[in-house]
Amino acid sequence: MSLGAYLATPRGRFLSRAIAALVPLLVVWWMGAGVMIDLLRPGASWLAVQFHLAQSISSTPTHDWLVETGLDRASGSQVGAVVIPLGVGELRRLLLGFPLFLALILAPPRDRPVRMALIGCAVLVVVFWVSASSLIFNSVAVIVNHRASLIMDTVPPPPFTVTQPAMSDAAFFLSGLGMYIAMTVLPLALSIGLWVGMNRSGRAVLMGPPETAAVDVEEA
Amino acid sequence: MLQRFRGLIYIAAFALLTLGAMAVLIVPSVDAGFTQPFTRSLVVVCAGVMNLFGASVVASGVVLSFANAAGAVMVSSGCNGVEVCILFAAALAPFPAPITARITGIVVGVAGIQILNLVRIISLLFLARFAQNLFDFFHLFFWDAFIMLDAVVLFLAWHHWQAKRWPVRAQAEPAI
Repeated sequence: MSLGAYLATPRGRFLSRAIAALVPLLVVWWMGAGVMIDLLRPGASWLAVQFHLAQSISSTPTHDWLVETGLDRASGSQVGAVVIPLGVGELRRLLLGFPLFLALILAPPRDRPVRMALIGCAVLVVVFWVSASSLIFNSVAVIVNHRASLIMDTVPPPPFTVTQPAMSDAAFFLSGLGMYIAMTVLPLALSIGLWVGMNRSGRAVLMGPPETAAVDVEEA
Repeated sequence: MLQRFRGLIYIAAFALLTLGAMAVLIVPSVDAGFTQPFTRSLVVVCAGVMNLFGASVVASGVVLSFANAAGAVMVSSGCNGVEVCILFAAALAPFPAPITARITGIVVGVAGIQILNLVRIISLLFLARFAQNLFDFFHLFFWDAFIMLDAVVLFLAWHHWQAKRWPVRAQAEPAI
């Protein structure tokens, strides 16, 4: 089968349109993610407070977050509560599922794309809040245990200690695992999972047996 | 009874395999014994491929650089494509297909993902030299999304192949 003929099949049409949509969506998302990060900050701040990870989260003009923790310094040159910076690059990374998910639901075939987009984006927002908390949890674990993170060896422990007791090894490990999954797997895998879960027609075309006359699948 | 929940069982198996593999991967001894050497070998392969095509590139540990120091990239643990390979393997391993098909799919798919990852590393080296302002976008976002999409394409291609080859078993795909 030639490339042109393949691209005319339902499978080829899906793949070509998903890839074609992903490129502009990535650019739009790259430019607009800062605004989205600012809009999502109050929810992330509320959740981090509920988990006792932070007292508040404020943002800078460059969309970075400053997480004010309840940790008290026991040594070091500075005094006062410990503030953890979360860079806009990390936060933007947590939102990477949005362009991929939207690219997938823009590609035919699709079931109720608007409803799918609303539900999917709502889930991705909640997961963003949880993922942001997992990043904060990992940073708190690095500070209270005074050990380098298991994941980002570029994040050394700070040059001060805190009065709070260290976490257990298991909790420290879980903090690293949570951050690892939040940063590397969740944004992208979840968007694909959401698409698979909600798009019955798309699934039928892409996963159906080869004999299936995919063109017979109707969009609801 | 089990047949009714086969979709949920598949998702649970996929999630458990992914979580387990990720947990193993961050154990310091696994990182030192597998991830780091693997990442270094990727850098060596990249340098070998580029030098084969006339570029003058040096591999030094996890750093890939032009010999005249005009650009370099450090390949860290998240840039070695291992996470996507884990997801791919975790998606295939519990799939209701013959074991031969699954093993073949995992081997070929992982190779495909790693080949694209080599292209990614090499392209990033050129971006580091010629278009540093675009480097972060391509490094952290563009390529990650495309490698994940590549894994989806490979999964679909594998599914298509195994369904053609073993049509009876293809009827037993997980109903999600």
